[in-house]
Amino acid sequence: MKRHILKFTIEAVFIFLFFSCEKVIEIDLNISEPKIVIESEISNQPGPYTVRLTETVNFREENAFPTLSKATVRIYDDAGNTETLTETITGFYNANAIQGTPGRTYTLEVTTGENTYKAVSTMPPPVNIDTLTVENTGSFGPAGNGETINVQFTDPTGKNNYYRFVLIINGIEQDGVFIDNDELQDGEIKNLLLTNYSENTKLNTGDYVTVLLQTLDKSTYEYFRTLRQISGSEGGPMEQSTSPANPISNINNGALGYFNTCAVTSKSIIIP
Amino acid sequence: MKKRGLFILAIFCLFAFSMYAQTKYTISGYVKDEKTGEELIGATIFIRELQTVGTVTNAYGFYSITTTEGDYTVTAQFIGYEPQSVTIALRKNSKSNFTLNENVNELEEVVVSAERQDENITKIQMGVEKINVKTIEKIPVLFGEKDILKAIQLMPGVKAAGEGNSGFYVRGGAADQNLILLDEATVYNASHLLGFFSVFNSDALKDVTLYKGSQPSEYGGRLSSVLDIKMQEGSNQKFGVEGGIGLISSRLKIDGPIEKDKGSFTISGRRTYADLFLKLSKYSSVNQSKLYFYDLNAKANYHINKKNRILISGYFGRDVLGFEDRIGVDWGNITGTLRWNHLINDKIFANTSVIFSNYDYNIHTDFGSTEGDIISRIQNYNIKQDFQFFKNSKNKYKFGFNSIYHNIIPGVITAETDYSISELDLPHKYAWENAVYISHEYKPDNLLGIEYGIRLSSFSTLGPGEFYSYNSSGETTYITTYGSGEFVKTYLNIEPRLAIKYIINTKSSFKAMYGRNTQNLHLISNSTSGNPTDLWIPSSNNVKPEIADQFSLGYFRNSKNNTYEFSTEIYYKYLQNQIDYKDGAELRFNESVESQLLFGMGRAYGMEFSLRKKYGKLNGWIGYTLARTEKKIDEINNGEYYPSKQDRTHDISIVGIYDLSKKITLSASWVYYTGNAVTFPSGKYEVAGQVVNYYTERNGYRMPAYHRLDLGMTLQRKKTEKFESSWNFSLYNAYGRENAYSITFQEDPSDPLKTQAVQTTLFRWIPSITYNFKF
Repeated sequence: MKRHILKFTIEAVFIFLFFSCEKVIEIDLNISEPKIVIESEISNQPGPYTVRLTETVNFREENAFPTLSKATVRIYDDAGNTETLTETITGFYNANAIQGTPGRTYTLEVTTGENTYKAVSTMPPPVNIDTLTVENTGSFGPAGNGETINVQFTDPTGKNNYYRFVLIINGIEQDGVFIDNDELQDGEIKNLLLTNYSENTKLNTGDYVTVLLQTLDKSTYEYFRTLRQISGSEGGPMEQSTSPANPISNINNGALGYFNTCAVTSKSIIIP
Repeated sequence: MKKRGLFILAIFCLFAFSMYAQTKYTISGYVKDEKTGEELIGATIFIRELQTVGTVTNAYGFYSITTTEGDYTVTAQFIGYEPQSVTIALRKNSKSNFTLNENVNELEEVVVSAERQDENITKIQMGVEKINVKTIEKIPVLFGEKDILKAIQLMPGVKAAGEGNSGFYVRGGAADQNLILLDEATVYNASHLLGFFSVFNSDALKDVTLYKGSQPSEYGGRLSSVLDIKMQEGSNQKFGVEGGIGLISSRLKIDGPIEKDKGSFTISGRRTYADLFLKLSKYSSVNQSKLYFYDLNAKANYHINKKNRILISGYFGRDVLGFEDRIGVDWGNITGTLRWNHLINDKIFANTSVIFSNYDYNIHTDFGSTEGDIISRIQNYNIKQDFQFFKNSKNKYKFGFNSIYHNIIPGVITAETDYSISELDLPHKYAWENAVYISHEYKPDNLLGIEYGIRLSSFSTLGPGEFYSYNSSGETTYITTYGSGEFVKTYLNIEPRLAIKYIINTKSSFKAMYGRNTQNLHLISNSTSGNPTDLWIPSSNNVKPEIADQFSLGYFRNSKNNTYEFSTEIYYKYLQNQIDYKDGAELRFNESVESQLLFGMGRAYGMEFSLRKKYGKLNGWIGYTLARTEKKIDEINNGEYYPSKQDRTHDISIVGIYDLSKKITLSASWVYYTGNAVTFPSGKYEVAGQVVNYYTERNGYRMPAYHRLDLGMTLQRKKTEKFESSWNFSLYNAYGRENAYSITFQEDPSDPLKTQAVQTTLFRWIPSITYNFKF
């Protein structure tokens, strides 16, 4: 969280002092070959779980991403269960039989044409959210009143616990990648502010807020950590990395996207 | 230490003297400014009767000429001063001090360079820029704050790191590859206010020299350049006060004698008050914020006797940034130098320096439940011994050694409340750097000049600590523990340097150079602009010393009685152990930050052209550079050469200063450069509910070209013996060019189906006004 504060400070000084201005410009970006994007999540909650296959498009095109149909998608675990998924809607493949269980290791295999993509991910045990509170962070919060959701949870003893949080306000999943780990602070009570500076996540009295806590394995965490670096949830013009890159995927063979096997818990509050 | 130095010296002299048997005598002394008594650096001394015999004063204003007995007219000259001659009957070793008067008729002798008139052709070193502190007062600048680093960025072969940034790139080198010395002390972060000002208050400066080509052997430690800045000593004749009041900052300088003719002191300070404007804001988040910097330069010197002199100087500067009492960030440099000049005899000048430098930052946050501090620091202690041996008119030797102890605290996080902040103390780093050097300047005749030398440098990473080894995917393979003071890894490097000049005729010369440089402190920074929190790491078991070999050729020509200077240089640099970052590298507060780095090689080559007009009502220069800088790292872009961030194909700067009348000076500067190499997306896709950029290669795109015109005017008020003052007006970015500071890609707010590129521009039309006074 410290990192964010520093970035925000530097940013704020710039905006206030140096009257920067923004405008939309035309840039001639290269045409790229379409690349496969695999999004897949298995949790400890009941299925069916979905694997979504899409492709990249060129920058100038609309945000309508072509789906990949007629692929062979297979998931198996280390307990001997295996399932070939069925395509329900084009590009969406459902797993109906397999059940997510903490401690098991899952393998995803996607074959389209001549290419096969494979990912391995282990589901960690779930961690409960202790409390959800509303904290006022002054001007550091989202636009408006500065109110932000604080999640408190207890990190189990032993390192290598990785967390991802999903913030849902009135049924709408908010943008932003919220993650945490215990590399520096093991086995303690942890607090995390789910502040998203770039989007308006302003809270109002009566809002129904749900937070999901996903426990991830390291490679999936790495994906979300590096996704956050480029997705605008971190920094602004001053803090932009000089070498942005595609997030580090746990899927091989150059596929974009992730295979996330997570244990999920949740808690909700109504904003007073 | 002194004994060892003298021993080396003795061997040296033995060898040197055995070769000569003629009766020769030495004339030596100092060249000073008549008004202030300050020694002049780089003043020329020559013997009229012997056309070939001449020298220049060293960094402490000392000269020494040895020649056969005879009756001579010895002349000292320095640009901007009236030359002075004395006749000497040279039958024994003799002393002769010169005190030069400043040229009164300023109008005809506007100084653009402190060098002698034909220096462009005659000096051996190439790629050297001497910047006159007086000149930069006339160049228009951002916020009217005259700034040495901004002036340097206008020199050919030197490029600004970005809008308003005091970082600079020399011949394709990154900003951390410049050795910035303030009275011999390393300045780790030369920026105030995130780069909009440099830490150098030009009121306090005496001499500024940038070596972008061949660095003389006495310098080492950085790949690209040396920026050697010397502070003023102050007048040992009378007390004086000088200052300036500007929109954003004010400054004041006091100087005077400690004892007339023997010693002097000077203190100068500067403080910005940009945050006063923040108070005008109606938002509490803004009007309760702090944003300022201050700095203090002080120096004193004292001549104990004719042979010994002590100089002590220091710098202290701090930036303070605060936000609503919740966040406070402050950072700054501290340097201190204690020097002892000792004249061993008329021919051998020795200097011993003890130097300290420190850079640190401190962040305090207070969010009620979350209160804590972050600190980080880099420090060094340095002992330096230099000898200059002026053997005779043809031979001059320099030799010495240097020992530096580095101590780095990468980051400590402490919590004042018991939860929410993880306490952390990243392992401290220790290193010991040593170097010995010797160089010989040989001028067999009027036409040929050679300076060659060798520098032997070593760098040792020291314990205590745990040292990690990593595999190619960045995972720790094993850990070795070392005790306090144990040597973890030592790198030895031999750095040969060579510079040759050949004078073709009185108007033109040809020069060539080769030099190797190594660098053992590396700045880890992956953000678009330099940050006060960027981390310096020493070479270690994982990080090898960066090595650069540079070759360069140049042609120099003066015309119209040295009024116009033309030069062109081509250079090629081969670089080893260059650093770049892994995809998604985590560089902040990461114990295993070294696992986030990638190593490879690089090359930089280019051609520089420069045309200067030094005298007359209109003076200034035009510089143009055509260049390329590339890296080659196996893990990036399939191991092909790719452009470095600082690669710029074209770079043009034009500076003009025009004296309209005795009272009014107009100035303008225009810069143009190719945009930096950047990584832009070549496509997009959807993941986790958001549209994400798809990248295909690193640094495959270019920012739009940058160009800007600045205008300035200096209005000299009535000048009397007791008081003088002037007004300075400047307009930054006169035609309001919207230069891209950054480009981001985001969803079109009016159409979520579209994505757009948004350009952020920082400055358009920044006017400023400054009032300067002196009494």
